[in-house]
This record gives sequence, structure tokens and C-alpha cells, in this order.
Amino acid sequence: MGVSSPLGPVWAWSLSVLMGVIMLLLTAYTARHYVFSLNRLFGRQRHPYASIVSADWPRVTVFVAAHNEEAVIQDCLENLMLVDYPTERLVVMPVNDRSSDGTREIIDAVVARFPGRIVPFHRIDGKPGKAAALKDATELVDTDFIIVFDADYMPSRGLIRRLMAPFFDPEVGAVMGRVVPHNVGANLLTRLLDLERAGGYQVDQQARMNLGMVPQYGGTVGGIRIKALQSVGGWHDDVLAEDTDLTYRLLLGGWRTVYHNRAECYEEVPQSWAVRMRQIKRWSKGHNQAMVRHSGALLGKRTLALSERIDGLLLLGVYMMSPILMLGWVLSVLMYFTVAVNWLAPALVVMAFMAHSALGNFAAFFEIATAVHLDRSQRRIRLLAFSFLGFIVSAVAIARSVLEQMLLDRMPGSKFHWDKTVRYRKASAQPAVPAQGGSL
Amino acid sequence: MIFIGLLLLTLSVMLLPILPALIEWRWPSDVVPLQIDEADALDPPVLAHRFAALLQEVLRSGAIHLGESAIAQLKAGKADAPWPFSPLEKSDNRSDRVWRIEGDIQLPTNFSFHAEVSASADLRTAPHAVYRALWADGALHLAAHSSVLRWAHGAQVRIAEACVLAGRVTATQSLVVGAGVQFTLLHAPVIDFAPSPRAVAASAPKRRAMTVWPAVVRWDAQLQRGLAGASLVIEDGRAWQGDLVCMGDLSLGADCLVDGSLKARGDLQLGRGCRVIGSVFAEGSIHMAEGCTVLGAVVSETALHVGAGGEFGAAGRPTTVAAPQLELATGVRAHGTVWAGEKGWTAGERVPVPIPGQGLRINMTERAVA
Repeated sequence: MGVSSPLGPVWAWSLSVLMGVIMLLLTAYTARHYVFSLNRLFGRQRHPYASIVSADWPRVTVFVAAHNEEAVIQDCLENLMLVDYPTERLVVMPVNDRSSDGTREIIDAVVARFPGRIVPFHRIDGKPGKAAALKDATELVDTDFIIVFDADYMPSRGLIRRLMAPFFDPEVGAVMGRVVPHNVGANLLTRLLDLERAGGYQVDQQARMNLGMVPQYGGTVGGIRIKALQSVGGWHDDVLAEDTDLTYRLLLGGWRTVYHNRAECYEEVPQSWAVRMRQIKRWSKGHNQAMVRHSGALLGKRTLALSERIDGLLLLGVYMMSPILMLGWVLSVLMYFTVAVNWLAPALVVMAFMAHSALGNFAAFFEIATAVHLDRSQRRIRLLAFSFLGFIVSAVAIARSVLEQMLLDRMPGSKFHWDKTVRYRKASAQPAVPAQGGSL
Repeated sequence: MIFIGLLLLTLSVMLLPILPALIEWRWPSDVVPLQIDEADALDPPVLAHRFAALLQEVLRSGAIHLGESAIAQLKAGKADAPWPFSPLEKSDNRSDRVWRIEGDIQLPTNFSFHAEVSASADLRTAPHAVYRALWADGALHLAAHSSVLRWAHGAQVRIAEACVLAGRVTATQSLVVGAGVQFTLLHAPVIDFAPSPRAVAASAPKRRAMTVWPAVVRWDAQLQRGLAGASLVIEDGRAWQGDLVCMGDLSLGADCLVDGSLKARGDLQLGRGCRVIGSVFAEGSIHMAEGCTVLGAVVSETALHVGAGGEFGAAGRPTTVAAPQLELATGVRAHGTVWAGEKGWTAGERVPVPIPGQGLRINMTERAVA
């Protein structure tokens, strides 16, 4: 098999090898999607912590991370007052990070209605960002465990117990619950995000749990063992995705992150494409930063199972696949016009592309369809064809973020700007829960 | 013209898969948030409590139906008084009505209740009968070989030998489970299995502190946590403070004392008289010899075998014992919840599966336990 080009053999071979690598990567991610979906449909399901319903529950501090959250913070705190966790073992700590709106006043009003149950932390200066705020708040904690919620989340009655149950396992360093969009009916975007979240949690995370791979701590609706956190160096406030960073530091430090599919919590998803794009860009930058930091250590960690290392690497590289896919499109055009190959190579490439078009492009959608089937919400699956829209928007946002990260963010004087996700809910006019009404 | 026709045809073929999406987008039929378990269906007595609240509400309102079932009310009086069954119920030897009984009651023999039975005082079932669900404000006595399909609840619950409990059985005070009983979920402050005189240890076993760990263990003194990279065997009478996580099988000799928790990615064995002041987890099976005690949770992802005289939790410190397959010997005591995901049974005689006359089948397989 030979390749040639008017631009020289180096050009021809470089493009061919690069194209081969891209095809390999696409195949790996395609296979990954199918393995996860098939595992959820036909494999052994692991829910080892779901049956822990009676226990001598340990003391826990629940952080509610808030930065200008006047629209949503009250609902979150009130929901936490209704959970069925022993009151004397639950400390709720709103982490009010430099808010300039009415967040502080709302928190203080809720604190007054539930005396002794909420310990607010009003952070007025210091390094910006959620990781930095959590780092400061963790200094104040006297419990062995913390649970983190973002302010737009609405914890349900049994959620804290479910998130705490896995911590009886001494191997567990962090727990992740399932996030379920609440504002599904707002518009097409929220409906597509609902499908995407279902695929991500119901299939992706649970399959990784089933297969003993690397479920990811997602930064909210999750818990952390303080001892584990401290043993891997605490919160790193110089990272953009403290959740991904922590997942890998725990893994490398001999702790497991587990996923609990029954620990479900409602959240609010973006209702505008611009907000969604900014959210994706932020996640992408943080994730890629974690990839650069942890890939080498992960590869060299012989004490981890091979499946954990491979899955960990694929998870770290997930936000690189959009620019890689786009690079593949560019390369294929370049190859078409500048590289001449004999009959075998184009035949292989054509077959590879056909296989990928027939299976690979739809692998992620197969995952979503599996999730919807498992959730028994069959009718929303009709929207699946529109997931292409979400896919294209995400691909563009991720590619832009990667370019920014590689070029603009490295320029002198460039500073990371934290894009806070816009909230759509309106603040409650009246308290939904009467004072001490929910205390147990 | 042909060109335009072909173009339109091609476009419609391309648009066909998008049609359901377009319809669902313009005329939404499924836009409610996914239902999440806000009421906590995993709470063991949730079904019983929900029924009790519903029945109370229905009776207060004067209604005569609970859901689709008619409600029959009975005042327990004379012990030998005939039950007010309808002719059809008499001929079928079964009732599909919900029964609410005031006072103590003994349910009739050779008769099945396919809807809930609730008593305001003590309730005694008949042997070899099948019940959908039972509620007793007082004590509940399940006679030998009786079956419960959905749930049973009482202040004190006693389960005679060879019962088949496909549903949850919960008690607010205590639960005693006889020999040869099949179960799925049991929950009470104290649960005694096939009670037998509890052996009293002659003297406290001699234990030696674990000062040097085998090479396979990486012990972190600051964290008080050990990671064993391969299977590990600990000899008899060892004691240590801290958690131990093992990547393979883990086996502890007799009379070990662990002031911490244990985890094995493979199988886990506790020798006779081991004491764990923490939790015990295994991705494989757990085998506990006689007289072991564990204060925290015990969870296996495959099977759990508990030897005679084992104890889980303590008074005021409830815990959960869970595994898909769960076998308990005589004299085991648990405080909290015992949950067999697929099948649980107590040691005893071979369990005959009742075959109710009306074609009802218990969805549990027979299992012999010597």
C-alpha cells in the first residue's frame, strides 16, 4: 500500500498516519458508547449501596455553593430542611461566595426561620471560583463528610441518606448522584438537555459503576470523605473543573468514586443556546486541563486495573473528540485533493467511514435511547433526531474552547473569566416551608 | 418535472426520520420532568404505612372501597363466631376484599386473603395460607408455612417456621424469625433468627496488636488505612485500628478485632468470633463463621453466609445487612434491616413451597438449607 502527493511523501504520510490515529480514536469512543449501552441493557447491574437503609448515620456537612443565587437559594435550603436525615447530624452550610445580589439576605432570613440548623458562610473576599470557596468552607467543617449542591438544585427527602450510604464502604472517597432536569418543558433546548443528561447518568455513569471503571464526581449532588480529600491534597483552587480534578486525584490516591443512580436530584438546565455554549466551554476547558494534569500519572499507575486506566483516559479525552472530529473532516478534504493512494487504502478508508457513519455517529444517540428506555419515558425519544442540533452546538463550543485554551488563554495578561450559569426560576415570594415545619 | 419529483421524493425520504421529532416538538406529549423517588420507596415500612394512612382516611370518609377492593369491617368478638364471608368467598376459599378488624383476631384456616387484612390489636394467621398484606396495631403472628406476598407489619412480629415472605416484613419493636423461613426484606429494631440459647464466651480471647503488616499491604499510619494489592490472609487473634481495603480475597482468622471497616474486591471471610467495629463490604461473597459481630453495615454483591450466633448492629445503633443471596444460621441477631435482593433464608428444615388452591404462585424458588 503506497501513498504519494505532489506536496511530497512527508505530507502524504503525515496526513495518512494522522487520519489513521483519528479513525482509531473515533472507533474507541464508538465502542465505548456501545459497550456502556449494551451493559445497561443486558449486563449485571451493580447497586451495592441502594439497600443500605438503616444505619447509624454519621454527621455530615452539606455545602450549598452560591454566587449571586437570589433566585434559587431559598428553594434549595428549604428542601434541605425537609430531608429525613437525623437533624442533629446534619449541618447545612450555604457557601455564599462574594454575592453582590440579595443572596446573603435570603440566606439569613432562612437561617432565622430554622435556628441552629443552618450555619452560613458568607465569603466576602479571596480567590474567585467554586473550588476556592469550597476550600475555604472546608476549613470550617468539623464533620467527616461533606455533600455539595449547587444552589439551583432541589434535594429530595431521602437524598442525603442515599448519598451517605456508600461512605460505609472504606474504599469510597467520593459519591456522585444522578442529576435530573426540572425545567424540561421550557423549550427545545431543555428537552434535548434532558435526553443528554439521561444518557450521561442513566447509561454512562451507571455502566462505569457496573464495570468497575471510573464514575465521575460531578461537583454537585455528590459527597466527599474529608479524610480522602485531605489525603490527596484538598481542593485545588487553580483548576477550572474541581470535580474532574478531584475524581482523578482520588483515583490515583487509592480511593474510589462511586455512582448512586437512585440518589436523584432535580436541577435547572440552561434555557438559551448562548448560555449552554458558555457552560460547555467552561466544562471543556476544565476537563482538558485535568487531562493534561493527570493522563501521565494515570497511565503509569500500575496498581489500577487496566480497565480503570483505559476508561479513565477515555473519560479525560472526551472533550478533545470534537476538535479531533473536526480535524478529521479537514484532513479528509486535504487528503482527497492532495494525496494519491492505491486502491487498497481508499477502500479501507471508505469502509471505515461507512462503518463509522452507520454505527459511530449514532453511538451517543443509542446511549440516549437506552437511557430513555430504562427511564420508561418512551415518548420523549421521538426528539432524538434533533439531538444532532445539540451535538453540533456542543462540538462548535468545545472546538472554540480548545482553540482559546491553546492560543488565547496562554497569551500574557489573559485571565480566566468564570461564566456563571444563568438561572431562570423566580425567587419565591413566600417561604414554601414554614419555620421549623420540616424539622424531624 | 421528473427531476423535481425525484428531488421532492429524496427530500421526503431524508425528512422522514425527523417527522416524529417535528411532531413531538410542535405538539409536545412528554415534557414533564422525570419522576424521581421523592417519597423514598426504599424506606422498608413505606408500603405498610402508606396503606395504614390510606385506610384510615377512607374509613373516616365513610367510603366502602379502597382502590378497587371493597372494604369489609369486622368486630372481633367470640372466638368461634363464623366469618361473614360471601357465598362466592366460601366456595373459593379466598377473599378479595380488604378486611378491617377491630380487636384481636385469628384468621380462618384453609382460607386465603388476596387483599390487605388490618387488625386494631393482635393478628394471628392460619398455617399454609396465603396473604397479600397484613397489618396489626399489636402483635402479628405468622403461622407455620404461611406466605406473605407484599408486606406485613406489626408492633411485634413472630414468624413461625417455613414461612415464605416474598414481600417486606417490618416491626416497630421486634421481629422473631423461625427456622426454614424464606424472606426478602426484614426490618425492626431487633430481629432474632431461629432463636437459640446464645453461647456465652468463656473468656475474652487473647489478641495481639498488628504491628507489622504483610508486604502486600501498604499501611498509611496517618490515615489509619491499609491497601492490600492482592489477596490477604490475617492470622488468628490479630487486632488493629483502621480500615483495610483488599484488591483480592480477604480472610481473617478466628477472634480478630478490627476497630475500623473492611472491604474486599473479591471474597471475604471472617473467622469464628471476629469482631468488627465498622462495616464489612465485599464485591464477592462474605462468609462469617460462628459468633462474629459487626457493628456497621454488611454488604456483599453476591452472597452472605452468617454462622450461628452472629450479631449485627446494636441497640440504638441500627445497621443494614444486605446481599442478593443471604443465608443466616440459628441464633443470629440483627438490629435494623436485613435485605436479600434475590433470596434470603434462615437455617432449618427443607422449605416446602405452598401451592395455593386458587393458582396463586409465590415468586420465590425453593431452597434447602441444612
